[in-house]
Amino acid sequence: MQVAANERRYRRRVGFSRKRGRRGAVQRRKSQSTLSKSHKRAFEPRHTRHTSRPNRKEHLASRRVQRTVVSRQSRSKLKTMKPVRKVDELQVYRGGSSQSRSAASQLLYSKRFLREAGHRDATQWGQEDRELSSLQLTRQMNQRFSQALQLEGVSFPPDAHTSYADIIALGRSYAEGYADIRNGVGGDVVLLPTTMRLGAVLCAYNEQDSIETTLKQLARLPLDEIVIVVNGSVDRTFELARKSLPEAIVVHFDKPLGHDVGRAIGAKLLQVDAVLFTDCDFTIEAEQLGAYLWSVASGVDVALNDIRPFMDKFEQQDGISYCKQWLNQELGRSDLAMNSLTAIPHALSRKAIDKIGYEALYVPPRAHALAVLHGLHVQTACAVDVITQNRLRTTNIGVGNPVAQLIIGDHMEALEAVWNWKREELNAVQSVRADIAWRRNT
Amino acid sequence: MSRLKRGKRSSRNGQTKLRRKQKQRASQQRRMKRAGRSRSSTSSVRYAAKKSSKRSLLSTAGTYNSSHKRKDHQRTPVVSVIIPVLNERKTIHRVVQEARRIHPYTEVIVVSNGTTDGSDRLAERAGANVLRYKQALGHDVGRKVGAEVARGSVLLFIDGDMVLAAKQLRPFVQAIQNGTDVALNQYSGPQQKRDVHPVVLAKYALNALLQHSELRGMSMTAVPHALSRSALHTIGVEHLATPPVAHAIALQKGLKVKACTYIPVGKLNTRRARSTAADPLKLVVNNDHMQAVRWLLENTDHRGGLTDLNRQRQQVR
Repeated sequence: MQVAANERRYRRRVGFSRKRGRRGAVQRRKSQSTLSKSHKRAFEPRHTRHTSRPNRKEHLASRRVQRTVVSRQSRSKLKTMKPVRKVDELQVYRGGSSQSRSAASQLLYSKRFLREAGHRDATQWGQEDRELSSLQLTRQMNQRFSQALQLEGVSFPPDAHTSYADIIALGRSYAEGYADIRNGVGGDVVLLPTTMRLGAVLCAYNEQDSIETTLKQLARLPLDEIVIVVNGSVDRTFELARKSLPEAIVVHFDKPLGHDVGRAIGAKLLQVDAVLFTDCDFTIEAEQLGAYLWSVASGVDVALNDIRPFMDKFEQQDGISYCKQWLNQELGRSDLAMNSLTAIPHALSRKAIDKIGYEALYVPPRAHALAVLHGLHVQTACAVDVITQNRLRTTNIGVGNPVAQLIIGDHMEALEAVWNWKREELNAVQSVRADIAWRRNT
Repeated sequence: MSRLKRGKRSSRNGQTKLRRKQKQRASQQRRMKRAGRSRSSTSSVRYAAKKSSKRSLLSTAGTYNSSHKRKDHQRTPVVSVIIPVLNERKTIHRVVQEARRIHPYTEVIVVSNGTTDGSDRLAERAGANVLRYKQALGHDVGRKVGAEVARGSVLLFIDGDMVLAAKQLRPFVQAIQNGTDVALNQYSGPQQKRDVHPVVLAKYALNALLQHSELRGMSMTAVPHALSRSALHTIGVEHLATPPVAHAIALQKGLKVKACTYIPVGKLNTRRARSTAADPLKLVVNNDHMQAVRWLLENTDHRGGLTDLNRQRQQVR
């Protein structure tokens, strides 16, 4: 029945366009003098057609208008304009081999299915979920989402072919479905379907203004463990950390630990497969934070923040940036440019932490060098602007400020690590000096 | 799009190759012609090279300024110009001539190492004090050898393949005489490139590590540069063979290192045949910078003498 209806619609459309075609021919004859112009115009509507495809169903009328415009353009255009039956246009399309679907339509279908799964789960578990805290709810939803994905037939755990954007889109439609039933509860979670246990380390030093918003974003992620290292704080940081995220482990130090020491402590305490490192300087969206964890979940050992888009031209950069780039160059990873563990956020796999040792993490450039030297898989995962958004303190502004000196000192330690690793190789080059000079000039 | 471009470039490369071949052929023909002509019409440089191989030096006394030589003997020179040379006969004569005009009391030390084309004889003819080594000493090692025998209070280092006028070189000498310890060329490497050259990056990074970001990419790796005698003593002659190490020592020990004038040596440098393989010199220069880091690590602490800003490392156990 349904098929027949579609067939009818299909035929009607063909007849429709043909009629328009005749009228178009007349139009064309009239405007033959401006041939080149019409030729130019012919390309335009095609583009709009493509982009408006997902909305076709809703805007039947507008599509017709578009088509008339197209048919006026030229006849050759008309020939290629045979109505194509798109799978996502037909409601009855179900079953069949999934290989025959295009990636886009697959995603669309999965989305619809997952939305329904969200509905179903919310009606089934909604009552029980009412007692859960936000983080627990996220975790629960993540589990059910993973199951739903398996039911749908998306390969689980999703492989490299499923991009992070797709995963986020699927997760969102599931969450929307769930939130529809539960009056908006759980609508903002970011779901990462993985079997890995995920964790996060957050360092806080007098962050009472920003810690709540940061923790709110962290609670949107399906994290199994969170460590908040509160050090040297004389404000309400500790209290707010306890209050806004009761599940988190909060480690408190009376005195400030100094830069990046909190990371090493957090890494030691966590027993999870993927650890996200971040701080409270400014709010980073959970979707962005999730990208690092997802990168680790899909096989990367060290997922870095890509700060290249936010840097100036080479001549306008500062000394720290040169040091970072040179370190990467000496490590044979010029492709990483100035990206290293110095910049938050980043994520490490358990394997990476075990190999380089959690103690190494308090000197991030050294940890970075060791990670590359140990042959770990180091990649950038996402671009978060930490350059222009970074909070300005008295210690980190101006040329030769203490923090800049600290970071450059860290790079000295990193280069020392490179020296210790490649001593023979580096000394060997010196012995071929004469040979090279001679070859160059003859 | 990118593929298209690449295709174009490769074809252009092919053209340049062709052109280069043609040029070579043309120059060969010219040489043949010259050989056929009488001696009087050959260029003076070539003539000198050929003659000196046959006759003794004394008989060519007319072509070179002996009065200058006498002056050198009378008084210890003020400026020592050190020029490492390896087969640079096209330019060496003019380079030495210009070097001698920098200051009334100038000694020019040409360190000829591994030369097989007679540049050493040309240099001698032009009035230089020539040190001869049969084997190539190695990149920049000539500077060290030259500095060892130099007697002047100002040491100026230039290259044998790049003709710089005395007028361009004088500011370096003047800067040293005015109290600077190390006068550098204000050249930071090619600027208009999208991807930075690895050696340029190393120079920038070394300056940053030494807390002298204001020097940008300037370094003792680039010629010309000048040293005072006291600076030479502080740095140590043996370190001149690896210029980045010398540079690091100069900055670490607080010598007055200043940019002098801008000489675009990148443009003046002779074009060498570009090999498809990685440039071995890149490797050496980059390695030299690592040697500089090692010197820093050995002579300061493992952080290069920089602050740890109250890091409580012992808390991580």
